[in-house]
Amino acid sequence: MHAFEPLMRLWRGLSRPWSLPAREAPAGSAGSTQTPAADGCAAPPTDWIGEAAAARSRASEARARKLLCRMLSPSQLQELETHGCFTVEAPGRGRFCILPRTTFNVFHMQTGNLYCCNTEAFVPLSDLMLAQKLLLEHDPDRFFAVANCRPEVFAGPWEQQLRRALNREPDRTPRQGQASGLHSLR
Amino acid sequence: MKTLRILDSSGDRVFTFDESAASAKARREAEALFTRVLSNGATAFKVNRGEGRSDEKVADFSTLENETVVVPRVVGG
Repeated sequence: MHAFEPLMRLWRGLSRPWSLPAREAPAGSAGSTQTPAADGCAAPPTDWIGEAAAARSRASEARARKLLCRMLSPSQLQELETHGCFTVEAPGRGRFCILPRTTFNVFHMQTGNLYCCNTEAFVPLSDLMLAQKLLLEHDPDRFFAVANCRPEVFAGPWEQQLRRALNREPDRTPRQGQASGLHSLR
Repeated sequence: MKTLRILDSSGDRVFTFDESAASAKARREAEALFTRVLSNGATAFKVNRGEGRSDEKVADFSTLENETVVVPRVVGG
C-alpha cells in the first residue's frame, strides 16, 4: 500500500459532494457510472436522511395548511385558493395581504409597503401565515412593534398585480363565528 | 373539552383537557405550559368561539374556551 493511500482515500471522500446522491445508471444503459462502493468509499448516509427530512417537512406543512384553512374566513379561503394569498384587516392600520413566503410577506394594500415579522421558533409556512393573520387582526401593536418595513419601491410585479386584483374584488366581511361552510373542512 | 394548540416545527402540538377531575393532571400540565410559553413572549388567541364571536387575544388560562392557538414569540425578519 502506498504511504499516502489513507490521505488519498480521505480526499476522494471529501471531494464528493455530500448533498448529491450517487446516481445509478438506468438498466440497460451503456454508461460507466461508478457507485461509491465500487471505488472503495462507502456512500454517505445522506439519501435516507434527506428523504426523511423532506417527508417530515411535507407532513408538517400539510398539517399546518389544514389548520390555516380551518381558521380562515370563507372570503380569505377563497382568496387563498384563487391567488395563493389572503387579505386581513388590521384594526386602525388598514388592509394587508399575507403572501406565501417567509420574508417580507405582509403587503400593505394601500401603501404597497412590505413588512417582515417571523416567529422566533421555526414553523411551517402555513403556520407562519396563520400567526401573522392572528396578530394583525387581534394584536396589531405587537406585530408592528417588531416588524421590519420596506417601502413600496421594493414590491415586485407580483405584489403590484395582486394589489390591483385584490383591490378590485369587493370587500368581504371578516370571519364571524364561521357559520357557513368552513365546518365541513374540519 | 378544550384544545390548546402550540405552533411548532411539526405544525402544532395539541393538548386537550376539560374541567373534570379525570383530566386534572392534563389541565395542570397544559396550564404550566401555557404560562411558560406566554412568559417567553408567545401570544395566545381564542379561536372558533362560535355564536358569531370573533377571535380574541387571551392571556389568562382560566378564560380559555374551546380552542386556543398559541403563536411563538415574533421577531422582525
